[in-house]
Amino acid sequence: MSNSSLKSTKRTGLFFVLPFFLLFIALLIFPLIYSGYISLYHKGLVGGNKFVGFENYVKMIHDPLWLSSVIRVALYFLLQVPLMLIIATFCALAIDSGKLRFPKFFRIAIFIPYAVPAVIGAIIWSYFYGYNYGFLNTVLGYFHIGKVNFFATQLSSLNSISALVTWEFAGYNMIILYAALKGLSTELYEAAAVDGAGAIKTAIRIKLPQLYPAIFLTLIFSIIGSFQLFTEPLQFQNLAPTTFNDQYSPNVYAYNVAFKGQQLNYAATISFSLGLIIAIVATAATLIGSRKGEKLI
Amino acid sequence: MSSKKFYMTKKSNLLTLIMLILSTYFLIPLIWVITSSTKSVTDLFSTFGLWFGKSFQLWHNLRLVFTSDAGVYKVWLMNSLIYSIVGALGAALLCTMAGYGFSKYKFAGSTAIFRTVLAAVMIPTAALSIPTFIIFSKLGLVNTRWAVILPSLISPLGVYLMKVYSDTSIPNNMIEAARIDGATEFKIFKSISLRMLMPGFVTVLLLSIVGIWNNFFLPLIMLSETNLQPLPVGLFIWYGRAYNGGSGADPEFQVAVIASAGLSLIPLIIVFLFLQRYWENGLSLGAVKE
Amino acid sequence: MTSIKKRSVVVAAVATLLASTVLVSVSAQSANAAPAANAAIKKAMDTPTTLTFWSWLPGQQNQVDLFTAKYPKIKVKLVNVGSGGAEYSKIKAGLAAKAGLPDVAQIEFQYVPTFKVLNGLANIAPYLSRTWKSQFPAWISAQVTDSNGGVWAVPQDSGPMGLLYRSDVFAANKITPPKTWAEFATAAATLHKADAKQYISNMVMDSGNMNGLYWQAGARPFKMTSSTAINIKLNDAATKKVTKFWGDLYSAGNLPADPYWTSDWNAAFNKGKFLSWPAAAWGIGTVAAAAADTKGNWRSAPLPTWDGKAVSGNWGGSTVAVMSTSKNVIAAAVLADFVNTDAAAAVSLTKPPTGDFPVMNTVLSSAAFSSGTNEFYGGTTVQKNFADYNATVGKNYEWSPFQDQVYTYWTNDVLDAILKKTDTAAAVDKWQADTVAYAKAQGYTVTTN
Repeated sequence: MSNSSLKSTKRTGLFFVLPFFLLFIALLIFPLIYSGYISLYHKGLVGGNKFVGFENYVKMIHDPLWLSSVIRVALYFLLQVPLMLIIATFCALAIDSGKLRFPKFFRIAIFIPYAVPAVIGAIIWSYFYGYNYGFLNTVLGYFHIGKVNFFATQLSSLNSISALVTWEFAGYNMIILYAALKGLSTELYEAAAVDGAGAIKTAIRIKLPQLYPAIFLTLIFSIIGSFQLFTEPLQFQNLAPTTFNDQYSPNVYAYNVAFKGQQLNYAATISFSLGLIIAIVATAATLIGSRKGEKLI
Repeated sequence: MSSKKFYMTKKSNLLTLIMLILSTYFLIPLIWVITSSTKSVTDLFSTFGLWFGKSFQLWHNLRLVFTSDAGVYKVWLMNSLIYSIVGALGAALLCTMAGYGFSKYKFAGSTAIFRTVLAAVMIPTAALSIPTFIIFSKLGLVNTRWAVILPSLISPLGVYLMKVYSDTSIPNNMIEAARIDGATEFKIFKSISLRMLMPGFVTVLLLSIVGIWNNFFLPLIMLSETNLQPLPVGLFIWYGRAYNGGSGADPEFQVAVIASAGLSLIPLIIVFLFLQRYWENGLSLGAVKE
Repeated sequence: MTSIKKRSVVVAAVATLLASTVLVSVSAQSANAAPAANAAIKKAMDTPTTLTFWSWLPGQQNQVDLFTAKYPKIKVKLVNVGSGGAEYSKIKAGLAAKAGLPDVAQIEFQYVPTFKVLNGLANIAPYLSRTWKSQFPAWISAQVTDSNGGVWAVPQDSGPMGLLYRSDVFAANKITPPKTWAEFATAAATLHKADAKQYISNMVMDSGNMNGLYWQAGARPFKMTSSTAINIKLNDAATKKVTKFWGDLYSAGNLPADPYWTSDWNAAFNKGKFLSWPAAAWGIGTVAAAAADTKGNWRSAPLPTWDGKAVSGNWGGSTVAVMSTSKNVIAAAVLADFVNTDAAAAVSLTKPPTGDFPVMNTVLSSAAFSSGTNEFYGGTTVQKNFADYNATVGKNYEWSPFQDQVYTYWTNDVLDAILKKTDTAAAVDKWQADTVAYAKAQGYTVTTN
């Protein structure tokens, strides 16, 4: 950028940014600060609103229900995200390899579930997971395999949700990675091909390392997404009320605390902390994942 | 490209087979929803999930979808379209302007502001829903269309994508040349830059459309009036009606829920198929930084 | 109400007090509302008004149509925003936001105190006749009124409990309907032993269902001692006894743990997995809808008893309440009252597609109701049977003003312990402790006698 434009266009730059920035302040920064603010108050069903300092936070840290919700989403993240990203990376590499028949078909087939709203995805999968007459158990029955209770334990419920969310989001991540692959320079492949490297070798040795920043980006988005788990457990609550309890994830807990338990201030505390936790985990991941001299985001 | 072509010619049956198996995982639920949309409640539980049942009652089910609750499904569909189109157009425009502004202009605090916006990518929107609900309720915005549209206008990721896109797709000397010709900054944006930014604009538009179309938490708490709700919230309520017990339970209603779920997938799948190239073009920007 | 703190409560109380004095003074001349109120009602019903009515009751439109035929100036927008919890969350969000609320809403009995304490309900006593209360069984009207003469909702239906059972399978296994819970347990073992795929019933996984059984056994967990003080006794002997009973049956493997209201659960009735259900009266229709293939084989019996004395509990049942935010409280109150107590409306509530269990004495005792037979139940007078059980429902049951939370804790603490086969008495104690802690955090003075 030249110096002349720098001088004359200071205000113009602000003009372009301002509409977004004002809404950004009003609808993102302000609610964030506001939730921090009201998390310092307490209002009961009887008695008025009073300032309580960090009492809500102290309560939250000692609240086993909240703690269980955080541990559960952390576990869910560990179960779901690596598998999803491996599938997404594999599919992206496969489609990009040139060795696949009908690559366009596969690209669309894997991507399309991303168009399915979470609510609808959960409705469909709730029929898959039904214990007595669900689709999956019916199919297992054909092979004379005994019935599986997909929501028997917290762990199996997390696996079941993982399968659903992976179904929904693997394609989205695949497209990001595939787009990144298409952006890579082909010279390296050509050199590899000249060296006699096969497609598999090229994929692992040459493409994968270059894909690292893109994989990392999908990881960050997945962290943000998985800690916000809400729709699926809410929808599955009917299917297994003790497993998909009211504190299944921090968001589910905040929703129930706010609209079942009538504790808006405590709900704000949970929401605010969730934002903080996600920001910390994502930032930490960025710091750990950044290679020397390279900024990922 | 010649060498790329060279190894493209040898296709692998094994890889194709593996991918075929993998893609059944992605397609089976969709096949299931199509076949199940045509079934009766009895068939739903007694016939094979991936094939049609004994009775073919798609039309009956669709009639149920469009006539239940005085045809509220059409209202939900329309609401979803309004929220997605208005919200996404607004978001894409704001992001394009802001991204362009950050890319092509330096002004007091621009770096700090950009960093803040970038950091905000990490803020989970769902965590903001409850505080936003409280603020909106004080402003009288709850249970209005604005309650859903306003928050969806803000997309920090979109701003980042558009900045990167502006950086790479609009040469600075072109802007300089336009300036020398006497064009105002706004005219340059409108008549030159915006057109060059179009592919990025469409990508952000698509991202926003999907985001808003699928959004559940925000409209769930913001809108109590049925006639304002988008499809996911409406279907959530219908789902509850089909399964929740008590005097309101209506197991027969399951077929309506499934048929409406299947139906609700059509608009977005059309958008996907027609605008697929924009996904790849746009998303590569976020992923690869030159 | 000894220590009223909230201004709005004071206002409401004063209004109620005024209304009741007026009513008392005119009672000699008229059994109906005060002349002043009558004039106001007449004016309100002659003014073109649109009322929004949230209800998930199938067929509610029929009663609304009767209403608008009588009051053509009033338009009613009937909306189904979801049943039970889905609607309540919306009302609570609406109350927090003071926006987006209907004029009139269907609310189950157990949540009337919750919405009352949230200042969400209007006191409609001034617009009701003096003899209004006597139209219902006493325990029903007690659920919607308070000691100051306030009326916070109009009863719509109730859920007296009885046992629905498969007479064919029972007979084939030489089992008569169990008279006591001990017999029920024996029958449970016999039936499951005879065929591993069949169970006497599902584990009681639903908080409301279990609450009805606690009610039957004599549990009276809540008593508001003032508007800010509550006595909580969830861990009494009766509750522990009932919990242990179901926990033991489940531990012995004689009950499956199928979640309620799912498609699987419906199908389980149809496929003969569940052979009975300690259900509420509205369950008559639920089973009939779920188990079409078993038509004619179901019957009803009184709930098994603990000591041979015929006592029943209640599970569910709804009211129609006027929201405090309504701008047309009078018209809304008349609507809420009319759709439930108008002679034609009350009868139509009991007919398909609604099939409510009536709360009006006139309907309960009518020949049409008691002689009605049901082919699904082998042509027996199943509704009359439930009317008999209804007469035995235990009295003086009070709800907490945070019943949602109580049920959440029940699922977390008690149901979880049963399914994990751990100590049920300790679980009930934890339920009590969690609820007490919550009530205290909400500002209540809590006693635990």
